[in-house]
Amino acid sequence: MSYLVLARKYRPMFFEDVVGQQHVTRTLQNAIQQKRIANAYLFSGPRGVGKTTVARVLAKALNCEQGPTISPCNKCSSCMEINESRSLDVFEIDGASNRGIDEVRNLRESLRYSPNPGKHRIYIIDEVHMLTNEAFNALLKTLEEPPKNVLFVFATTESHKVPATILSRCQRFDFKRITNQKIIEQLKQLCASEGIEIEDEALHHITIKGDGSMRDSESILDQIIAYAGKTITAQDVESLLGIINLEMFFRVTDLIGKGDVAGGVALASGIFIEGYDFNEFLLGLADHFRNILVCKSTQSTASLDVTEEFTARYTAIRDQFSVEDLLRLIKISSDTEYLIRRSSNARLHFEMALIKMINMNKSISLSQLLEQFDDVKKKADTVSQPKPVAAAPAQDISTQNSAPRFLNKVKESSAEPRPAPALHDSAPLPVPEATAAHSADLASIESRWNEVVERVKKQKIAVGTCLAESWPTALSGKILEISFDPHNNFQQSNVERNKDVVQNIIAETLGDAFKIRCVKDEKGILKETRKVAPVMDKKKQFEQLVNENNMVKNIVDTFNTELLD
Amino acid sequence: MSFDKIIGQQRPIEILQRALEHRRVPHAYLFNGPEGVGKEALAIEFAKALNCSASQQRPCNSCSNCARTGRFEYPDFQFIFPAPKAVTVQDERQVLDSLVKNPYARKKLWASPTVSIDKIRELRRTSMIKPMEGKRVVVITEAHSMTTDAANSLLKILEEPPEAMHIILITSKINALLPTIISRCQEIRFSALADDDIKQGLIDKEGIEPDKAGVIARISQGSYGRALQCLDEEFENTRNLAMDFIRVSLKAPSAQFELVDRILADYDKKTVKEIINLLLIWFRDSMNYMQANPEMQKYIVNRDKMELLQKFTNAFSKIEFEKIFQRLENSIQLLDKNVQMNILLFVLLIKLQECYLVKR
Repeated sequence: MSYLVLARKYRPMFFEDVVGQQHVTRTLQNAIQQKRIANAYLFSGPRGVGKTTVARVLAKALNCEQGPTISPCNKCSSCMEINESRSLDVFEIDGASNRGIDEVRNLRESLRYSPNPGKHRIYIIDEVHMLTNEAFNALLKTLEEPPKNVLFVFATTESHKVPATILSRCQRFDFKRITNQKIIEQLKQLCASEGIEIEDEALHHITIKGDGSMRDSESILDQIIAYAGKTITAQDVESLLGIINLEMFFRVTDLIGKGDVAGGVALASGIFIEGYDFNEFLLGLADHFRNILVCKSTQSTASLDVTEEFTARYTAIRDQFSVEDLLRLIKISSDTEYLIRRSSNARLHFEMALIKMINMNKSISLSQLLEQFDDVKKKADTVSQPKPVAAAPAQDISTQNSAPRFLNKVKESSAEPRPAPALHDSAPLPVPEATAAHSADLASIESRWNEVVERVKKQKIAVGTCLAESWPTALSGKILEISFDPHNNFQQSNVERNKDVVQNIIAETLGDAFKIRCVKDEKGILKETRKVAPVMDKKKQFEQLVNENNMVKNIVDTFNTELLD
Repeated sequence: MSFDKIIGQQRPIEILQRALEHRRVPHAYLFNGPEGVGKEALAIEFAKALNCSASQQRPCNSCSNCARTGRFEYPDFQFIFPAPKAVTVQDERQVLDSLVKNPYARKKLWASPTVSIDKIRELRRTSMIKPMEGKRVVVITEAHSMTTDAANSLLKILEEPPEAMHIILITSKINALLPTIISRCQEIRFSALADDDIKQGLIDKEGIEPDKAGVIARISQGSYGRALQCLDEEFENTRNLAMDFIRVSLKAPSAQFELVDRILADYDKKTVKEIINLLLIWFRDSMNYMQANPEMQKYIVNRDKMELLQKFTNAFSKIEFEKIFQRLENSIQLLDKNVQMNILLFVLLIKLQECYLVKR
């Protein structure tokens, strides 16, 4: 016999050998003992945990010459035949290839014959989720009331694809993932009987990669034996599987600490040449940041799954990062991981992510900022320096002096309490009072123009929308001039047709009646004003925010901030 | 060395060689790695080694078994590749012939072919028959393009194939494979090739002069298959188009219109994609260049265009690289969704301009 992979060579022969599925094997053994065998079983669970294996052991247990028994002898001709898959009573069918209704019909034909020489006819259908709908339905009747001594065993990784009518006719067993501890024990035994020495850490690596699947773990071990021979070290496993050593991740955190961009690009290029998987690296990196975060916030290393050497290092670096920074770093890693999965330029995005992490500014939380500022303020108070004087609201100022209107408006938009001198520096010289009052009226209309527009919209949406494209540009007596886009006649004529509505609402809103005159904006005033208009809304939003949120208010007050954009 | 037809890939070669030495060749391998790094080439060499009559551990490349395997004429060697259902024998032979000529350059005749369930069923049937001469070796390339049905019907035979049968699956997108398939194979990861390896390969195998080989090696980003595509005369042309694209991205819309028209009049989607890929490389270079760190210079790809790079980066105080990369990446994805190319390119030009911040 030529070389067999470990997973096949050490396929369990008894119920007792099946690792980590006691809830299944015990139930089946008891069922055999009590002669309460169901006529259909469905085994579901992840890959490589023993579904097919248990199905075969069950077949042997039932058809063994000593049987039905809870431990098949594996010596009698029946057991041997099943082991070599040449039994006439046990059919192992590949559901994925024989998935049509014709195959099921053939199967039903064969049900009529009684078992010979065994006691049961057993049909094991593997990958049963691939049967077609028709095939499943053709099975239903047979499955519910099969002839005497016929047993069906279905095995699948995707039980959600099996119709409910099939599920309800089967006894269902859910196989579990196998714990790392059990896999390690099994692999150790296996190595012992193969005469192979293996380090514990190497086994640890294998189980992590194996992800709860015995077959995966065994085939990894197999590959490592083929690679390394009779003695296996952790290093062999790392280099063969491309497991990224934690060391690499610590290098990333070092680079971030140093702000070394060139080092980051070099690292990315190294990873590329070494053939590590970028996604795997990013996932590992996110895990690394998570470890720091856990280490930092719990102030202990109890829940880290790493060796002692590394717990010490985690403790050492945990204070280099703030919680906010770590959360941001984790976000960058996972975002990039998502991006790379869809992209054909993995290397580039990976580099970008590293550079982004390295260039990332330290974040300071708002509360920290305020705390810091309080300190400064206290100091300042004790030295009794004059505090910056808060000026009167800028809106008032703008009514008093008439700078060119648009400039003024910009000032208004950034109206927050701020040191008076600063404003006076930039404010233009005062002009005669009469004109000032006049333009103030227009300014106040302008400041409430959006309100007017909103009200019109509520009454007549079409007119309001057209009005939103306009802006009041001049006021002479009681006649308000509204400018429209000179290239678009539609809006102007629409508003003109509904003059009454607009005038009424202006009167309601402003408490003063105006007649409106629609003009074309030839000078391009509108264009400039339009830019200002949205800012007005932002300003309102900002004011609201300041009023509602104490923290923001604090910041605004202490820093004399102003809204810029 | 044996396996001397292979460029780079020391680790996979070593793994395979040791498996041969220890007589522990598993029945199923999964070769996983980026495109064009030599997975198919190594699979063919490995198939030779398994059946070589002169040596148990390496292909001798002189015995009749090796020669026939290399020509895809060995009766127990089967090479399955994605193809449409109604593929003709001539077309199939054409693909195999391209591999005989150069195992790094399989001809891709069809747009998005799959490996169908019929192919796998046929494989199951033939595998029941005893191999005629030696061991049966089956290579399935682009295994991720197996249909779900095909993949599932491979499962049983992949787990327990008959004696003396080896299956090698090849994929560049392991995420697209069923976990049940992956779990039944021993995975061997292939890495991207080092620039120097590609350069040497181009010089030795294709007879390219060293300077040109160096540039192409860097542009190919670790894929020899891509490097071979870049040997085409067309490629130099495409590269010039990409440079023109950068140039007009600084200019007025009229010039931009002209270029977009020129590109679309003469070239197809493939070229446009290539151009965008070259743009990505160009901006990556610019980013490295602007770091003003001599260390970074060694990662620059367009080293033959340093002057241009200097002129380009000097014109701006800052370039919003992240936005540019996102935009380019997005454009590639949109191309696959068949958006109108003239609009795509024009929008791209406008957006590029937005990302340049000019010196005051």
